[in-house]
Amino acid sequence: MTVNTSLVNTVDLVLARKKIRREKRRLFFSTLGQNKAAVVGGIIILFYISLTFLAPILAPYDPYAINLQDKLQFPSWTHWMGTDDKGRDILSRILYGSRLSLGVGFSSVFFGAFFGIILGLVAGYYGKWVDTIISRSLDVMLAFPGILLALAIISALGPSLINVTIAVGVFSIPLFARIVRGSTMEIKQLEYIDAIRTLGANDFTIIFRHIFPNILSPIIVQGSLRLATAILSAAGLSFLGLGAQPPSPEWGAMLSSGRDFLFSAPYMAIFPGLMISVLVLGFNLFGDGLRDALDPRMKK
Amino acid sequence: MMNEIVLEVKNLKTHFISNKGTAKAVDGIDFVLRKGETLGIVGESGCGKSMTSLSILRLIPSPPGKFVDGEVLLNGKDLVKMSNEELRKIRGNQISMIFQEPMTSLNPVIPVGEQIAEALRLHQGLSRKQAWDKSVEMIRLVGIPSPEKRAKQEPFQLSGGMRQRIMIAMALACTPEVLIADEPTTALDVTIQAQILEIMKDLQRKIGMGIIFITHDLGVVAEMCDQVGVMYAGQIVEHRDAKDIFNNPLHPYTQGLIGSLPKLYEDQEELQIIEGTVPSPYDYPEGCRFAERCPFSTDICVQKEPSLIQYGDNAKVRCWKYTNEWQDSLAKEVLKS
Repeated sequence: MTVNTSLVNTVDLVLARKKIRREKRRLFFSTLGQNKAAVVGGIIILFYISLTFLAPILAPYDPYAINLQDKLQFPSWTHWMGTDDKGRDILSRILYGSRLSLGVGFSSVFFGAFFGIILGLVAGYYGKWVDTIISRSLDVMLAFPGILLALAIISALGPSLINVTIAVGVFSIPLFARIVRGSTMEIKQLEYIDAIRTLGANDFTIIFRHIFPNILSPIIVQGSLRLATAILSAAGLSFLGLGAQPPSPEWGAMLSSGRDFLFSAPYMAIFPGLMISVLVLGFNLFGDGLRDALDPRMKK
Repeated sequence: MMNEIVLEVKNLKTHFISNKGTAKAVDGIDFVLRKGETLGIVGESGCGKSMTSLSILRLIPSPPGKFVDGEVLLNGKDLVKMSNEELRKIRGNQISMIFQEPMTSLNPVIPVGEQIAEALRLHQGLSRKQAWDKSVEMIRLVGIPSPEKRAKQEPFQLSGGMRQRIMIAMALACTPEVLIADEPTTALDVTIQAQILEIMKDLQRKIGMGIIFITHDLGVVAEMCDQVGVMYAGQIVEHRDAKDIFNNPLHPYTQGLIGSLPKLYEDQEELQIIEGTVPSPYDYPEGCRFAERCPFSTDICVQKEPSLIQYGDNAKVRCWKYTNEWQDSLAKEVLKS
């Protein structure tokens, strides 16, 4: 009899557990799915990411091949987005450029998140003078306008796409650190952190194994919103000639070279500009949706 | 036969310093805990019970907390003087703690089996697999059915009683010599409470640890404890054998506490209460901290702070009433009037 009941219980529990898991997932996706804007944002992002992978298949021409005979052609069936002043196919360049723009966006956010998370965890967990030093330094960084900070870093390191990544990443550090610090301070005073400390866990274990997994939601939300800004800043820096150098098909750089032909060949600037704006819009919409689904407290 | 002493606390003082002044949360606690023995610490909310337990493990956040004075001797070694690294090796290994609120004392994102395994890996250097097996064994030991499945679950999938059992399993995984249980059954309903107490007693017999049992529930004290320390305003006011304290409480505060329990077989219109309120920890009176509320208080009670005096063979009480000075002071008052 006892065996029987415990068996029944076990089966019930396993089922219940699966149900709870499913329910949790369903709730997350339904909150996200109900938000039409977030769905649109998600589709846009997926579309761009698929472009980066499919660029070699989709691109009709070599993005670097100069063909002066066909320069500055209006969009047509042979060149869907026209050609630039050196006769390169704009569509092909945009497809290959998606790798650069998204790549810079993602790597700079990872760079910023990595250092920001560590600084935030340390500041939030240890508090006192450690927190004071870290927080005040971050305040100083935040006090600089982002572009100015990036300009300073690039003028020190020299213009290149990698340096743009670093510059934009550095500016993301304080944003991540602040959010992580706040969440860490909130989690560290919870009882289970005391409980794990009474078991003799060291600071490293407490910080990375017990606090970090509990603060992932705000980090993910911040990351997705930050991606939009990062891509925009990177394109902006390239536009100013500080990032990707010609003939690189980075969208900001393409926009910059289209500037001289704005009246004679506006499509040279319109298409890269459009690509940037739609991508940034996508990340913003998706990030807002994620925030509502993952971290309702941050809702404005 | 007296068992050997595992934990001795001498004159422990922990104060909190804020801009309102100094709060004397724990103000001179002494007690001795022997192997296999359960010491109950009772008192009302805010009297410093939990702060005492946290002070023993040196878990008081500082600032604002400040360790002022005292010794905490575990097998003769003073925890107060230890480095953090030495202390870390003792926490969870030789002294463990169970918290009041099982709902919030487990990490919500880690399967419970892994949380138990963590202590084992920290202290006993077991491999992942060994620690996991041992933690499943511990879950079985605290009476949870199908432990293999339960170990993989996250805290939100368990009920309050089960989580408290998991906490016990975590605390006892490394077979500590001292277990501090800070109101482990307060958040649970009565049937689950009885089960948890039974499990703790059972494991105490198996492991032979000493338990410091913090509670405000006198019924639980009667059920669990060998010795009782009654705390009032940061101090122990009476230290007795548990069986004596209900029949013959010495300190007026203890008498009030026990008097205020509802009686099952008597038809009471109103419960007996202790008049007045607890003095603020920022501003304790000069004399006895209970004098203001005490029906027996005389001049000496208000003027001078009593010390914890020996009464008979195995009782201690912090009260002037059991001294000659009190008799004199009372006599003077009677003469005056």
